Amino acid sequence: MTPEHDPYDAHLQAMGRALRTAPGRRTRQHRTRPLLITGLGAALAAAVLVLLLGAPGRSPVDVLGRAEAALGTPDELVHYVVRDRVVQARPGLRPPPVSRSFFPCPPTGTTEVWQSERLNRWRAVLPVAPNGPRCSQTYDGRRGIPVDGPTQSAWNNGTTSYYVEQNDTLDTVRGYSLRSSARLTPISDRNLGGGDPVQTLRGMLAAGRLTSRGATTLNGRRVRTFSGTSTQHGRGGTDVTTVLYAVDADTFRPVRSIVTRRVLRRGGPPTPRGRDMRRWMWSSPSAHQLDFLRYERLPLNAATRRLLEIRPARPPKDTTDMTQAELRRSIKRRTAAENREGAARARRANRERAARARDGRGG
Amino acid sequence: MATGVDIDALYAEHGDPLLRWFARRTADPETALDLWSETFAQAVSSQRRCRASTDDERAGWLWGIARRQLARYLRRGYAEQRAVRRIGLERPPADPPLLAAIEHRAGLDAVRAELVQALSTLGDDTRRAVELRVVDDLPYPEVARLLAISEPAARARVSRGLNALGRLLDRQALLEVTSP
Repeated sequence: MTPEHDPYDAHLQAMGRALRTAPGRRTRQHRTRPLLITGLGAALAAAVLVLLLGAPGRSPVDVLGRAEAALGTPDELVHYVVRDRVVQARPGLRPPPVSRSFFPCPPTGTTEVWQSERLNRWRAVLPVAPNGPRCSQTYDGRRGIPVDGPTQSAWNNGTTSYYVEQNDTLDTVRGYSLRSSARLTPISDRNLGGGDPVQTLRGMLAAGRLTSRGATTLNGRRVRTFSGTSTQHGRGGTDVTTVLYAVDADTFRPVRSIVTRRVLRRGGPPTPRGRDMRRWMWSSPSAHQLDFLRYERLPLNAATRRLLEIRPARPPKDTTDMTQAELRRSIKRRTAAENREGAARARRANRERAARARDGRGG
Repeated sequence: MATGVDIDALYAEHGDPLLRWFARRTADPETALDLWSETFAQAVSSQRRCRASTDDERAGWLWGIARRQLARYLRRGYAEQRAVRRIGLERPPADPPLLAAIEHRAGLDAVRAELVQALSTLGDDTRRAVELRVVDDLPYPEVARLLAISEPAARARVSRGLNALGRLLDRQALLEVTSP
């Protein structure tokens, strides 16, 4: 069918003509004519070069779409291994880490996550608890036992599970709201606004919040970079998240993301814009850098679903299974008991002090 | 560093895929035409600010404008035409054969079939509005009359519904823009 007979093609051509002859555009072209004339020679040379060398093998593509597609779809299972660290908020892909005096307990090791958005489930294998001269020992809070080895945690539609291999304990808590912060992967605990990294990036790409910033090299690897800012207005104020995101230039798989998050309190200064916003975000004391050591998308089937479950080699020797309400009540009871104990200790100490003072006066 | 882009070349390369992309994302050829023309009008308006130096970057810049247009439409419920008016772009008229051709090229029949399944996840009011507009293909004034609400409210309701079904539309659109 010729364009004259196909309304779609005819419309494309008519729109092309309208775009070329738009009055506002003619004015703009007139102003830039000297530039255009110089550019014409270069364009001609480029066209000749393309004719001589042949057209590129692949037509220009929607880089944001490819980056979004590389993250996977909600119907797939995503598996990734990340190393995260706290860095100084600076423009660029290589910010220096924050000093140990400011942040004495940097995360150690890597976190491995299997995640299915459609099933609303994930499982994470967490690194060894941070341990250093100024870092407190991590305890299994329910039992008061120290944790020195890796742990696993999982989320399944309102149910959380926590497994400590070293102590052979499995705790399950049911009845969380689907919007509860318990739904977020453990990586999000460390300053990553908006939840887990993959969903944050996917959401920002889908909403057009990330802009392509061209290609560069990172650790000898060719990467494409994207950056963007998203603001969320809540009751407490405005939550501002800035993301710098690097993907492999060929596969578009994630390589590094640097997230800076700041909150503007309600009633405070107005939200800065444009360059002022960037300066304000860079003045943040810290940002969160995630290096994706591995990223793969798996089909969601019976075999891969098992990756979302905590499966100890043998039945754990100590398990607890309670609802969130029971957990809250038990925490309240324990806190009340600790408070009572503390108050009794304080009363005893006061009585002893008063007795010593009396004895002193009497002596 | 290059300043300015050849909008005509970008249009020749991306005019067709962008229009189909908008149609698949909004499931509405009229809205797709509005967003499409506004995207190119915005590209004309801001071409001097574009710092892209390669074809890929220029394409990314254009698709970035398109994505922002779509996000704004999904948030507000209407497609802006500010840049179209600013540069005085005289859009060719859209007649029923053209709208049918856009639906055909964008494969909206398949999208609609999947939408019908996904519709069951929406609230009653929103689902009804989306059904009338997308499945029954009624114009907005008719949707508004049947729901006994104003036309802007009907547009907003359909937009909210489509936003909720965004994941499905996203997947469709991604398949399209990433397929060779």
